[in-house]
Amino acid sequence: MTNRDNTFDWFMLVLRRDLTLSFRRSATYITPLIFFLIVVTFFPLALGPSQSLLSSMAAGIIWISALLSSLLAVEGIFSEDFRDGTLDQYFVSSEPVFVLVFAKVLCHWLVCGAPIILASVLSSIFLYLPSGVLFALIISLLLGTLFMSLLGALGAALSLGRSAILSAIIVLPFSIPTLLMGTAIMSAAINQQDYSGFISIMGAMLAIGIPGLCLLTVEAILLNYE
Amino acid sequence: MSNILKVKNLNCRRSGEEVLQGLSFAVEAGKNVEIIGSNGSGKTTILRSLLGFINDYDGEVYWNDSEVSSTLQEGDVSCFYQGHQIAIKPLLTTYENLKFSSSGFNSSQEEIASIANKIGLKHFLNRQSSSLSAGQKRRIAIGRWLLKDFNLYLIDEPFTALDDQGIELIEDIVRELNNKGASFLITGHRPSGLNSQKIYLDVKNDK
Amino acid sequence: MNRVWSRIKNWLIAMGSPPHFYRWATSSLPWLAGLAVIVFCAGLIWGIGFSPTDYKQGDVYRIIYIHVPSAILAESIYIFMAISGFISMVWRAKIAGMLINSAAPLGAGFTLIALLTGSIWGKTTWGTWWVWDARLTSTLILFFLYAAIIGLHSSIENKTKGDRAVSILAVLGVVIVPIIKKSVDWWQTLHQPSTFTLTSSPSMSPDMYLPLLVCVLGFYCLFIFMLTNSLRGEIISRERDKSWVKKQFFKH
Repeated sequence: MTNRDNTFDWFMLVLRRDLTLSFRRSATYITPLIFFLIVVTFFPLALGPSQSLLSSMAAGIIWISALLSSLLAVEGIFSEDFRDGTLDQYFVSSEPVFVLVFAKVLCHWLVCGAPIILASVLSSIFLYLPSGVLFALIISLLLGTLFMSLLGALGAALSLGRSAILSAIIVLPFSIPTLLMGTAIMSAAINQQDYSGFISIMGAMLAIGIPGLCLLTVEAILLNYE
Repeated sequence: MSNILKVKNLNCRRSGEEVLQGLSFAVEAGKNVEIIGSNGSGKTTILRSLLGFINDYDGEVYWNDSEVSSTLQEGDVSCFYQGHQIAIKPLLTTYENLKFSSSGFNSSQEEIASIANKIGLKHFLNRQSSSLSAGQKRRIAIGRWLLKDFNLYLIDEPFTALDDQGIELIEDIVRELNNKGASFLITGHRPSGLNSQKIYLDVKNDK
Repeated sequence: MNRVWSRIKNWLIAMGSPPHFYRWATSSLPWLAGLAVIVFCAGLIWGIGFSPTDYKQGDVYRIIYIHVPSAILAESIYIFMAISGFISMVWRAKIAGMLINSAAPLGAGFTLIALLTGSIWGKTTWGTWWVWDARLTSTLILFFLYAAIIGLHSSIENKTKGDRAVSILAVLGVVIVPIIKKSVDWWQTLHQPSTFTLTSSPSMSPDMYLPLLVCVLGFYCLFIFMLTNSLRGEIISRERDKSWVKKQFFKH
């Protein structure tokens, strides 16, 4: 009874279950948001409240905070499922597990990404982000946080059960292209230039990243079974 | 009698260490096999190797009377697995734990309610599983066996944390499913009252 | 041609077995060491001692004979690790996995040397210990990638499992590294329109270029020697309970 039509059903199963669980536990979506705001606050505290200084750095600060918050938020994506045996069921299902992993990552992104985006819009006020670039900010962060969630999931799978900081050093160097693209979009938007080229590049990275990173994540998860 | 599963000369390893050598057995359709051993004898490793979590084993595994040794994915047998950890989410209700499972996601509300009735959790259908006892959580896990038809049930230590009523429940369900042609491959510390072929493992070696 | 190819394949497959590699390593090590010492020293002495003085940068530029080979090696080793990682993932060759573990500290070491020498060069020519030019920045990021591999491997108790984990990282890395380099290059031109590259070598005369080539070769020989040595030690330490190891040592 291994019909392939079931893959979509399985995908929806994982997605719905994880969404239900995430909303039952408000800490899941509130803590990344608070962390983000705290990190953002540290910059004016450390650098001084000068409007011109903060304004020139705003895009970068927001992007860095978003990257770090996404990374930390995705840290525990597999630990509960691994411990209570839910992850086992994915492998027994004879469905391609990377699709189910993507369902988990997607759920995580929907639940944690939205608060982060919200927090970044708020931070644009705190950091005097130049006006007119909010749309660019939101769209670049949407793509960027999805990529970070994918990378973070791989890091979480590799360092399953071990420290979060290890996961961070694994994942952060690989997120540099995302950071550079994202801040490029912001600079272009601030200078009122066209940034659609960068969006397509990020889109391409996602198109390859989604299957590629999910497949590698499955490999990494399997390591923990031996 | 057709064999849903036949194993020949299985050598299992866990983290590179040999745990089991030379195990052979067959599971016929509608019949059960029980693997009994103490802790560390390799019971869980056997199941995990058969299911494909662990690739580090030697031996031949034939699914569904096939001529060729294959993995579970290639073998095209519908299996249900319940491991040591029964995958019951404390934040979900009984209904959700049944619905959001590998066997339940296509089941209707009525079907799930009737299964809940059968396992004795009718009044706990919308209760969060965190407030249930270990035995009750086990019953939810048993409920999952009934939501869909499978050919082979691989259950790791099904009788843990169950009282006499729970044990009787399992025995009834196994009997019912056997009549439908399904088979059980279970593991345990001591032999159960099920009608099954019992295989005893010594530590490090097959009997 | 086919015969050569199948000979190579057989040699590779034979090398994949730890005892075989160990024996080959033990017998080849003295030769590898000798070769490394000769070429390495030859290159360095020629470059530092005998090549002509650059009219623009004076004698300081000679640091290029250490800096450039280190940088080249830092990148090659990463690619080498990625290939090993791929082989280890697809063909499950144990040696390939162990290779990553042995090569990573060497790669990190060369990266550090490249960074340090780059920094010294910068200080003497441009007056600052560090500048965010494309090459140095990429090299720094490469160092972090090595650190991630070393960190991950050391955190996993079961060494074989650790090998497989870092294979995943290495393979991912080799895909991302060109992207990182491209994006850092582009980032640098975005923020610094002047072509300010610390490590641009002026057009070099053959008198300077040849010793550089020899140095690069020397560094490669040194790497092969150190890798073989390290891998040999790693094999013995991991397989110490196996029968072939006991036989090997009780033979003497």
